[in-house]
Amino acid sequence: MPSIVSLQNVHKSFHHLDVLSNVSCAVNPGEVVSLVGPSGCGKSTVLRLMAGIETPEVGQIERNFQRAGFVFQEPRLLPWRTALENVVLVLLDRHPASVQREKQAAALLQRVGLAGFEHYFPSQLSGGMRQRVAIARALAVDPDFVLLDEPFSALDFALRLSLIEFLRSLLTADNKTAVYVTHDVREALLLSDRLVVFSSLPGRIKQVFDVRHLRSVGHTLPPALQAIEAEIVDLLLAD
Amino acid sequence: MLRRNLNRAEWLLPLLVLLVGWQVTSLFFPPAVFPGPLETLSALILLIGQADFYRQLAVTAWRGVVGFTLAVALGSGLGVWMGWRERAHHFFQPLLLLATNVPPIAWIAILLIWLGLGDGPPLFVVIVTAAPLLAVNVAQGVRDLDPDLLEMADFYQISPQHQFRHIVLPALSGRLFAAMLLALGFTWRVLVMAEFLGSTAGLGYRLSWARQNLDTDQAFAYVLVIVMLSLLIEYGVLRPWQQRWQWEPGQPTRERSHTHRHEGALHSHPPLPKTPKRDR
Repeated sequence: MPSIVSLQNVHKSFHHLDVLSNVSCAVNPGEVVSLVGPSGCGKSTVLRLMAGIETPEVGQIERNFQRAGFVFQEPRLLPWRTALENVVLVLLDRHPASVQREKQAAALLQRVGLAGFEHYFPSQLSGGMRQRVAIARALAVDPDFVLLDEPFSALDFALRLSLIEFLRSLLTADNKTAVYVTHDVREALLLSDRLVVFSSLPGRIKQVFDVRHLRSVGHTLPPALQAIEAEIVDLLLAD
Repeated sequence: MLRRNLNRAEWLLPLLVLLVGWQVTSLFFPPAVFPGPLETLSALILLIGQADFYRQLAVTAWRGVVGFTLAVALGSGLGVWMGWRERAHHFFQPLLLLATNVPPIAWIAILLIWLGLGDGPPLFVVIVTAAPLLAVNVAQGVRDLDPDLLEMADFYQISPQHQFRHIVLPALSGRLFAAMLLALGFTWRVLVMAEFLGSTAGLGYRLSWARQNLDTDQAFAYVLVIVMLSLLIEYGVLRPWQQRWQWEPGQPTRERSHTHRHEGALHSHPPLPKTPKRDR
């Protein structure tokens, strides 16, 4: 089966500053891959390149997905629209019947635990709830590829862990292919099948860890994953 | 309820002070120089009994509404273009700066030379005065659009018409209404001025006629009618529109009174649902 997205020797710079250098990686169908690295190492740029928001100066990107959902670092909700309307927004050009759109959006909000909050405005919701609306919006397009750019970085530790667990169950239930960008190694280990560790600028792939056979249960990492966590932290510190 | 009554009282008090001040001042002058509220009211009653008054009122109202509508349409269109295209902004910005600095009286003088008496000068002076206000404000509003929201919309392939309706228009609405209210005030001022100086119909023309005949009470009555007309359009049309269509980021719109309202954001989190797990 071809990979959902693959990057071949990609190079990217912004204003003459090299952000990525010679990056090659692929995401296979059904797997969750985390891109881990220090802040500003270009991992978000890799995600944006995969999504097609940015284009590389050098290298090839092959995309084999039909529909993608993107959860940005900030929820990017329309402040003047309710939670339901924010999800409906991405369905406007997809479903002609407004009843069907609203039904689908309401079902997705229920799925992310926001039943009863459909008519709340973003300003009336907490940070975690806003990101859940953004997740519902990403799932609304029925994506075969989900991209998440540090969606929980602004939230407190406990909430982050519970949202990670929830996200993992969502992605697993639908067998979604996803790429998750984070600077938090523990988050990445709790969520992913594979971790791609980046060096600081210009971003290069340092090492790839396959952890799909060492999945954690709940919030705690089994000893084998703890050992990998320590190894990755050492890698990042050595930068 | 109490708050509404207080608001009403806040309105009534300055009006009452104005009326009393007006009446007291009028006691020191003959009615031909400074008529009091009662003389003005009787002149107004006399006016509204005449068919000609309604013709003049209709002419001014028509010019005001048409001129303002054209100014809003042209100004907003130009503003969107300037906001979207950097080159259009660079080209029109100095021209608009010039246009806004030409005194309305100068426009009227030139337009009277070019177009003569009639509807032309009042309509044009409204457009050239009000449209730049709209253009400058709308252009700034478009330039201030949140690029993150637009990037999100582009990513999800939301069509340009839906982007305009659901993102651009709500984001612009605050500036648009503020500019429209400002432009409306200018509309009546320059319109009556143009009619006063060079027209053969309209309330401004009748005002100039009253001045020539030294009918001061009638002149006062016309001023009252012009102010009432302006307030009617502002509070009868524009402000109700604003209530319905202005979106304030972070605030529920007033049109959505059926939706939930809460003070501030929630700080508790509803429980996350359990999703059935499947082996990968």
